[in-house]
Amino acid sequence: LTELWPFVGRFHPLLVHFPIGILLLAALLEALAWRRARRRDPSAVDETLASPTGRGGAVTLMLALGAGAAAASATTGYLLGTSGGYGGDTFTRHQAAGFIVAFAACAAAAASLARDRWSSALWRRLYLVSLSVTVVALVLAGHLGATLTHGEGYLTEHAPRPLRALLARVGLGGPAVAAAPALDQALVYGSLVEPVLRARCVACHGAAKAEGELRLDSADGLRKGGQSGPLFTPGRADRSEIVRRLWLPASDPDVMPPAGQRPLSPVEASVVRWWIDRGASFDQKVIDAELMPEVRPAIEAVFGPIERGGPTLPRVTLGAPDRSALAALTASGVSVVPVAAGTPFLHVHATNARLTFDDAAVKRLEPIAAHVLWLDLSDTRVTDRASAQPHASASGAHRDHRRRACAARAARASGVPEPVWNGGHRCRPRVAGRAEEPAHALRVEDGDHTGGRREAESVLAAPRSRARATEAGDEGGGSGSTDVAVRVGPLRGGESTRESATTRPSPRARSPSPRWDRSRSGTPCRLRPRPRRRGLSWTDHKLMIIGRAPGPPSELLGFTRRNVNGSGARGSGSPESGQAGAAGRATPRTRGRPWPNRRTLPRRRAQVRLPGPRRQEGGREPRFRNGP
Amino acid sequence: MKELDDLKYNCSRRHFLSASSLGLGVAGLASLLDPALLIGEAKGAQEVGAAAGAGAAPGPGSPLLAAPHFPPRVRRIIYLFQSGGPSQLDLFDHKPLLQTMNGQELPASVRMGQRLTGMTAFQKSLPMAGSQFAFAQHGRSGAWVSELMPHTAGIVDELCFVKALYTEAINHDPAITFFQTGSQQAGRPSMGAWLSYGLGSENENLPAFIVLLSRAREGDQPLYSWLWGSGFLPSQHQGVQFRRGKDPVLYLNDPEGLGRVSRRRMLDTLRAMEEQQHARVLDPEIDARIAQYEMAYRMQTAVPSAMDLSDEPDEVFDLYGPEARTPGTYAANCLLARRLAERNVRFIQLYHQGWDQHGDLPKDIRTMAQSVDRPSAGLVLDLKRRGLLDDTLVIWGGEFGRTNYSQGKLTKDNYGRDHHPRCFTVWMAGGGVKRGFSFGETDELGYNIARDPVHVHDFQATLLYMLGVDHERLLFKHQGRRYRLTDVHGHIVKDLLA
Repeated sequence: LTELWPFVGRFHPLLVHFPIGILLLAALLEALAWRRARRRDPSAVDETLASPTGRGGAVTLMLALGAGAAAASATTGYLLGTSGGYGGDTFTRHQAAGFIVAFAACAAAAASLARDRWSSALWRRLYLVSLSVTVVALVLAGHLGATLTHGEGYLTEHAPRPLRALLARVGLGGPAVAAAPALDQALVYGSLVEPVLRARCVACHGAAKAEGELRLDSADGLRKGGQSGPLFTPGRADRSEIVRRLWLPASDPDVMPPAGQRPLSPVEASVVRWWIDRGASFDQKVIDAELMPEVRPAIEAVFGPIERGGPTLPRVTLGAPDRSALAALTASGVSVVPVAAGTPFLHVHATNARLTFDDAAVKRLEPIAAHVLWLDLSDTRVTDRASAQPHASASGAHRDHRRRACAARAARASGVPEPVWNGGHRCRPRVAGRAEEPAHALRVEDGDHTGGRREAESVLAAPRSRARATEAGDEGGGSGSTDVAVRVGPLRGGESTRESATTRPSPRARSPSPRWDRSRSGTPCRLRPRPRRRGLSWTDHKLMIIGRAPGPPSELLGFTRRNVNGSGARGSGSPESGQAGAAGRATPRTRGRPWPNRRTLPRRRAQVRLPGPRRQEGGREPRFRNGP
Repeated sequence: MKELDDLKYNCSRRHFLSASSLGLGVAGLASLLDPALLIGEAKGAQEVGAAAGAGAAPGPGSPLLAAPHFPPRVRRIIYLFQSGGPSQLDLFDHKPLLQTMNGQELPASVRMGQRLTGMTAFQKSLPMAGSQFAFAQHGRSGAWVSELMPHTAGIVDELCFVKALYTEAINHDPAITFFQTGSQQAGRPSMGAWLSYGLGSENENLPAFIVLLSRAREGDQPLYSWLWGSGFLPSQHQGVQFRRGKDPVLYLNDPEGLGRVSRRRMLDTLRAMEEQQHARVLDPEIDARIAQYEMAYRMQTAVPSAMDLSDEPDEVFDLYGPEARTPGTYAANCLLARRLAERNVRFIQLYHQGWDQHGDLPKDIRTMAQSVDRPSAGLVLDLKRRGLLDDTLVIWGGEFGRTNYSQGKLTKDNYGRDHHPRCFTVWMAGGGVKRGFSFGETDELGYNIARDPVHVHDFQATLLYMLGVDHERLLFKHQGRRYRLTDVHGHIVKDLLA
């Protein structure tokens, strides 16, 4: 007969609903009658409880039925409980409450019968007590039973946040809602995998009910596995039981969650697979994990949108650039185009004015300096006299930092919104090609380098640091107020090239300019919180220095000149050879072979126009090429 | 002349009203809302574009977009197109299993009845052919590269491999046309033409789209000039082919005895006449013609200096290899590409022919690899040391891959490979893409894609994105519908972006 017990036990979920409904209805009827009688004649309340006919008879009948159902439920529940897979506090409490319900309901039914017959105060008291106990125990047993079936916190999962917080404080309502952890601290398992397991698996494979002897509510349980053996093979999702079960077709008897229940969403399942494929580590951080596209939605759901390497521009409020300055620039052949639609920043390049753009022309950039994001003056006639020389001395690099710091401060002051994440790389300044050069850096963005950070902050705190920068940097005097940093590299073109031809420059030999090194974004794509360099974003290709001054717009303007042949041979950019470099800079450089451009040729738009019909002035050609 | 007269009515009354009513209405409404708009006191970012563009009055040569849609990651692209379909299995896609299963029949479960070319569809047996070349891991990124590419192996930490590209075409011409124009049939504008049309040229003395051809062996697949054609776009956007020898651009030089002043006068008069004609017939091709004449005039001085390698020091030739001294070779073209990149030419397209190894692969691919390996790596290094790699994107790849089974008889030291559009490898280097990175995987036999496929349209969309162009918004209306490079497809592969 014992083999029938599990079968009988499975009727428990069917039966439990009867006592709940019937007994609660009986209690409700009793309460209504009591209230009604009290309103009519408060002194006769006791009498109503003893009413021998009518309502009392119905209530007695219901109590008797309910007590029978409760007894049946308790029996089947006990049988189900012994058939395995159950244990833990919730289960014990549920079982106890169930038995109490069964006994109390029987007592209440008996007392009801007795008071109908003998109408004694003792029976009435006994009736009241047993009915109250029944109701309380019933509610408790029902809730605990539901918790066993659906898992901890099922009821309050979607409760309003204040209510959940309140319940959590009282110790009810399942695990408290934890705030999303900071990204750089969050663990893959804790923040991505565990929530999935808790939401979808732990109800059956947890402390309360460990089906298949498998518990997924703790790391130990996961490691231990269940009846079918180990749960997973770290690094090999394709050989892992859990992944196999999750991916089985719905018709397969082994599929998990079992047939009839909602399967895991593709994202949830992918998170599990991804975690196992990455070694099933319990202490790996999210930012160290290789990001796969399929788990991205899950990560974004927890940490907010991931922005991957999109070049973001600082959102600062800038007025329109000076129109006359723009006109003067464009008239001189300098190309000025917006960096992108919708931004006030400008991309300025002198490709078409290589022969005419000289030190004096740099002055023309001053009025729009605040707007210039990228500046390309490669192969023009600009010499270092027009500019500060941040690398003329060893402290030059520091000055460059200060500039960046000013820019960062400006961007911060202008209320740039919280940075979004920028996965995929970590920006780290370094001095390219010069290992012995201290990698001093503006490390505001990297919280883990407190030393560098402090340095940067002290720079930020220095009130008039930029004044000093100007003073020290403006030795050439070419342009008084402009604080222009030209990163000097050897120039393109005949002479300099031939000079350097004797030594073969290594690809890394460049001027010691701090650069943002992205080489660390190696093979596995790592997620990194976007550097806390608020608002100021070096676009990926770091075309040019971004300059934006807190003060007058022309104060800060940094740009780099593309260097052509590596710097080693000329040495103009290296701190050690500062003297030689300065001497070299004193003479304006010849630019190699002449470069034809519009200034040397007849102006393109100065053509002779014959009188006669002409197409509309200034209009683009009509775009309709076909007939109407 | 009847047809020409018809052109006059290109803009009929009905067309004018239907085309302009909305615009006039919007202009009226906008001026009501903000009178400043009409008198040109607009504030904010729009004005930046307008003001910045003010210097160059919109004319035939001015680009469609006043500003890129997004902040660009690169300013120019050098596309080293390996025409013929290099064998990814012998160069970059290391498949040890294929080597151990060498000679066994390709399992039907792998092939899955997929289409083969007529060259092997009727072959009785499809024996799998492992690569005969030794692979090794290189660099910090540990990328597998075969012994055929020693120089490329030295720069793998600069490269971003896309290992799971796939295409739809199975034969050369449709596949190259698909890669370059987004459609297998000829007639659409090429990628460079789209960019020229959308972004214009940064250097007004050179076209935005320049094409250089080379080949390492004779008798391979031909290339057609529609690959760099402008299709239905105004024809000044078509790629300009620079040839080797005395006349890099045909008919560019003035005839003997014609001075520049005379030429200028001639062009001015011609232009005046053309503008008269344009006023009569409103044919946009006249604009294109004017723009081309003007460009040619400016190119007369710009091209010779760009093509003249005599000012390059020896160490540069060391970098690109000795072949760089021979005009017309791939190495020389790589060096030229660098010179053009320095001059801010936006799209520089090299085609290198000879990768179609249906038979005799071990011998031929050695020739081919030798011709491209050092120059390609040299180009990347040269750009890098000049700081140009930060804003240049270099792409190396063909139109499709090659099969993992042998076409023809598989012998101990010889095999061939047929066209294989289902997976192939392309590498990129430069600004905007991850370095030392490999994206996508093929299966263990190198036949199908196991992970992260990238379609040609996705690739094109990504390239445009890197130049700051939204591939869904670079449009041209033609024959009643709007066209774009990626047709109705294309997803930006952000995983490639740094």
